[in-house]
Amino acid sequence: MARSKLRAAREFFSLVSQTDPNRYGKAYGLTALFPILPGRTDALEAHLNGLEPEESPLARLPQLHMSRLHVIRGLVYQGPPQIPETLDHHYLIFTVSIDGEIDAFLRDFASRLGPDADAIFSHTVGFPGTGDPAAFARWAIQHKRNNGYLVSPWPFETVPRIHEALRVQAGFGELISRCGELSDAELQAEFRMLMAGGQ
Amino acid sequence: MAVETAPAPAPSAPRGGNVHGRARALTLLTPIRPFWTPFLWFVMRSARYHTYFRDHSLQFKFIYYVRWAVFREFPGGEKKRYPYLFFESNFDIPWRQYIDAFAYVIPKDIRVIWGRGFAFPGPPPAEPLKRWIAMNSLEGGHYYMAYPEASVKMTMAALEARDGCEALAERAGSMTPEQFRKAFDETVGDLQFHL
Repeated sequence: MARSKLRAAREFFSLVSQTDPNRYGKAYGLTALFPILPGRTDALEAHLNGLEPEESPLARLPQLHMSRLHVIRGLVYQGPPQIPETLDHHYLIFTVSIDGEIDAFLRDFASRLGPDADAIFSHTVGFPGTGDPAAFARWAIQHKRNNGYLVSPWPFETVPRIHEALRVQAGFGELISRCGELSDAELQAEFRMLMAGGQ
Repeated sequence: MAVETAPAPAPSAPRGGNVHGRARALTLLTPIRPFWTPFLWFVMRSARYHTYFRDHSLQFKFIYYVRWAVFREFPGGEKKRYPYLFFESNFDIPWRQYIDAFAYVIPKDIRVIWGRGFAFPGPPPAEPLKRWIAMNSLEGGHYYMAYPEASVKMTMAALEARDGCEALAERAGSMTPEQFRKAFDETVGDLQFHL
């Protein structure tokens, strides 16, 4: 198959040599909890629930695979012998799976989302604003909780490369459907155009 | 004589804030018995070295990303009586099917991870586990996925197709059109299960 054994071995050793529990290959998984300001939980939750995935401001972040932002108000009581307990704060849970470095991502988050980020994090305690992306990144990283384990079937694939793969696969399939109508030279030219990013 | 029993009520599905296109998320935050935490922490932190959990999790071709974390305390030093296990999975099938797969194919893994929590209904069967998960699932919010139109299998196939096409493109520069046609047909054969 296309993936060589050498490449697979290189990737395996790369994975097992990583010591940061939030990193897996080229991917980084941020798990963060932000205390919500008293009395602001309903407003934050309503805002998050009103955001449409198809129009998400998070789409402006090219290194972002996936993200979830949601509110936790309490801890579920499982029944005896557990002793029930409550949270002192409501929290905003923010998880992301990204390519590359978390600090650069958080700075991008502040600079590219600006008011959209403000509309979310202004409900949380100590939010420094997004005017200074480096300050936002420093503040956000303070709320990070280390993952114990993070895993994905494509730890070395970036978001742009996955989009490229989906584009090439679709284009190649379309070229196959027409290859009988094309001369050898036309087929070669169209394949070159496909791989160069054209249609 | 057989006794008819009413079927168990179906657990309500996680609602809202966790679906984008084909992708959906399941998030749980559940207490761990304190004595079990060091063992669980060790299992998680060593998982990337022995690959047992990784291979078991990724044998299911419907998981995009999955993470576990142990919260010994909450931000600001908020300490609780119990440590909490945070679990988030991103996948592309209905969540009940997801739980069925785990409950019946890798029940030991599930018991190791959650089995020393409270009121955990060790699988199989899967239905009590589904009710437990529905009770613990964190709802609402906003969910975003960068390639929502692509399932995990579709993405993996596309990655193989891209690699095959790139390998062909590397060789194609020095080929005559006739040679390219032959190489193109061979590539189509190699990639037939990835298109």
